[in-house]
Amino acid sequence: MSLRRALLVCAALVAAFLLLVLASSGVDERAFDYLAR
Amino acid sequence: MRTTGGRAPLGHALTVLLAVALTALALEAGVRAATSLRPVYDVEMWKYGTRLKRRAADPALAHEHVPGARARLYGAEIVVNSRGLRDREFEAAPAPGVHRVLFLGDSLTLGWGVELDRTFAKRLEPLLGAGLGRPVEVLNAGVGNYNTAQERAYFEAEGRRYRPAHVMLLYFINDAEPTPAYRPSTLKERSMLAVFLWSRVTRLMTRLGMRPDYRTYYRALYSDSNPGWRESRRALRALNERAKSDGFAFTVFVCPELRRLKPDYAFAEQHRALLSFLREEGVDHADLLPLFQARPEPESAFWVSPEDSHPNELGHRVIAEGIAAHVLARAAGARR
Repeated sequence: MSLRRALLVCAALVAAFLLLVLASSGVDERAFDYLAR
Repeated sequence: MRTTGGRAPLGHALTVLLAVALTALALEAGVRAATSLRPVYDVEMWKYGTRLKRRAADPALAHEHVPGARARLYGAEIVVNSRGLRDREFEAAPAPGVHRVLFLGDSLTLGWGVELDRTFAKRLEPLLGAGLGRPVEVLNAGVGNYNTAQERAYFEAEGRRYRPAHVMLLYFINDAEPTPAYRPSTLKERSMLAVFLWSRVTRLMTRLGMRPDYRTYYRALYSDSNPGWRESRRALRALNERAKSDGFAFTVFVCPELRRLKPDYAFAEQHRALLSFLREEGVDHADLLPLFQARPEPESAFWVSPEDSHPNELGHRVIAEGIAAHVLARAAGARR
């Protein structure tokens, strides 16, 4: 049961990650930003 | 039963926590592997910020290049010399007969995404040399994310020691941003996954109207209430006064934001405000917008990549030709 639960959590996180990548693809409308200057 | 029931929620929580940690580690590794094969703008900028830049002791500078650092970023090798310039080594004073130019600016001047010999600063050396009839060296003092106030601070702290005959400054629309103040290290400075997620979330939020897009953000910089715009004008005025007192030439080149140039420039009003200021202050300047607008190519032809509108090699060529035309016309006028 624990392993199944863990796998479900992993799958949900990976799916959310892929969904975010897909939804945010395309032209970038942000101003230039610079990280960790 | 009570004992088992008490342990189970803790066991479940630990299982979930472990699963989240392992997935995060796997995604961190995946993002690192994927972005090494196909560079992503924000991740590359993060590498620039963490590997080639450091916090400066002087708060007016805020950050500076790490002397001697190097990295391949967004397809271009960036090598920082012993004095923090993305350039070759230079003596403090120019050799006799050499006309020395110091170019101040941000990531556009640095040549983000472009090899050093393709940047406008390096293209200018032969262009100006041929036109002026003597050797010309152009020192690239561009540092990513510098605003005009930081560029002036750099000139006062370091740039003056090079004794340039001509100081040039490439002005970009975000020069009116306030000088950043840095917080202590955050997760975003350590994890590539965190950077990637931040990048994607902010992109999505911008698309959904939850964050200002680049038009709204850049236009707002030019309101009189923005201290960054006031500081920018103050810095330009101070550099112009320094040029007069120290006896060097000073010219500002105004580079447009390259995402929407035609038929109407997205920041025409802000552009005009800056040009008016430069005219009123008697600062020698040239507007590079008409050169880009006169080109037949679409805007994207000048970008480093579809996700990054920093000028690419062609963009740098247009900038170099525009600068050279202005400088050589002024030199010819002075000879007459």
